[in-house]
Amino acid sequence: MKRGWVSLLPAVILAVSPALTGCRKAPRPGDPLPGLTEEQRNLFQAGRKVAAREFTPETGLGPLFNAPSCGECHEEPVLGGRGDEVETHVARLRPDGVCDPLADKGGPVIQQHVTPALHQALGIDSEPVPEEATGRAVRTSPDLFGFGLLDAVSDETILSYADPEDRNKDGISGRPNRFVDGRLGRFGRKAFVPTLLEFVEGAFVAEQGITNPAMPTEELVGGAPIPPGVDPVPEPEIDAETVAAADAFVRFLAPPAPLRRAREGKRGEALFARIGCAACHVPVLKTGDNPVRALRYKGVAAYTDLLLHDMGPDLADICLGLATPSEFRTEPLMGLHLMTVFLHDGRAKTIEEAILLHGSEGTAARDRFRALDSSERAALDKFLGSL
Amino acid sequence: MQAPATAGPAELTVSGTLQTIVRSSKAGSVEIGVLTGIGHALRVVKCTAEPATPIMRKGKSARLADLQAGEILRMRYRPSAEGNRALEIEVVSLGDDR
Repeated sequence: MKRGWVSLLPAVILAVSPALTGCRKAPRPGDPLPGLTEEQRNLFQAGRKVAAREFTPETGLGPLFNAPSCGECHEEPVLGGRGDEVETHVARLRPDGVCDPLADKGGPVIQQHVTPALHQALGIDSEPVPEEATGRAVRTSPDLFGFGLLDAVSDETILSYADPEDRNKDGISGRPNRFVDGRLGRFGRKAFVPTLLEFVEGAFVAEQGITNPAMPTEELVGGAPIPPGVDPVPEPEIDAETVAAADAFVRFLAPPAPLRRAREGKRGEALFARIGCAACHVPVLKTGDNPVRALRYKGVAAYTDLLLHDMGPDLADICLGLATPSEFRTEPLMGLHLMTVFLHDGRAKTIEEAILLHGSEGTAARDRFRALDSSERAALDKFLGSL
Repeated sequence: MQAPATAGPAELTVSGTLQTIVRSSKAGSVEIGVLTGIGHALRVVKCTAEPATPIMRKGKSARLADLQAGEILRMRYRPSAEGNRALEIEVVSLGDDR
């Protein structure tokens, strides 16, 4: 017995030592935010199960879908992380300047898969792309770490970075996107979706074909309703409790801890600010008041302003809300060390390649990056690779 | 935010962007399409509006002909087997940051 206690002692000391020293162990990818209540941690764990759950047509999947589970596309290095799946979004920029996401033709998300019953009814393997589309976009699946903190940033904070008329003449004119009802958007590559909860609710339908109380109707198939008899599960296919758990899982995922930076990385951090990257990739956003203590008045090192910026014609794809085809939300850089491809469509295979693809509002910073010598470029790469 | 009707409540309210305005064969009435939804799951609610349908813009009465695609509306409507009928429309203004 005594011997057993002695052999356990080092493990006990290791387990409590962060508390004794006042140091808090950095969260690993997939960990919950520190400071959650027991109830919140339990909800997080329940949500993890929902995110991992593989749906079938008999439990609500489809008839149109991109993936049978959240985890199918958010899986690396753990559940909630990035995925290697890419999907298709479409929209039509009308001659009058209004963006039509082709919702009445099945857009903007074009599902890549169909259930066997829908295949049997219509003979299709994926949703057809509407011929009215003037733009077609490829979208990678980002990691979801720290999204709850982004949700907790106030609208006023985001708007404080906006300069749509470029009044300070720095060549950067970030502007907010708006959802269809006029609320400020922040989630998605076009900053279209106002809240994390709506992003989750919408994703269940648009990505998995799973209706829920917030959206109790299925996607259209190229503009036509789902044929009768194809969808065996009555709407809504999941209840509010299931959605709330999934929302809690995403909301409470801790932001990825940056890697330790040596001298070169710190030099890169200074260069990041000096050449102007930080004008859009704002290093830290502060969250506002929030019912969840772990999200309240926190700094989140997201490296984004959550605003739209023109990235030039080479990257342009679809409009969405107020975003023109060439406008994209400043991509958060937190968790960059976990990424293997870069930009909204994954076309850049290295961080340097992604920087060099910045156009329009990003041109000046890109050109200053080009002018750096090789050691400076390496330092900046080291810094970015540590985020 | 309210998704398209699936059952038969007496009245529904939708907030969204006026996407389409199509003149109807019925004198003076129009069919309007309002873009709504949740996240990236978007839907269009189609509704018939009559010249007599009350329309408010910045606290003042407005006309059907003044509605423009791209404007944000809050609309109360009544679903029926014959289609949705607009009861009241309010044009919502955005702040100066737009």
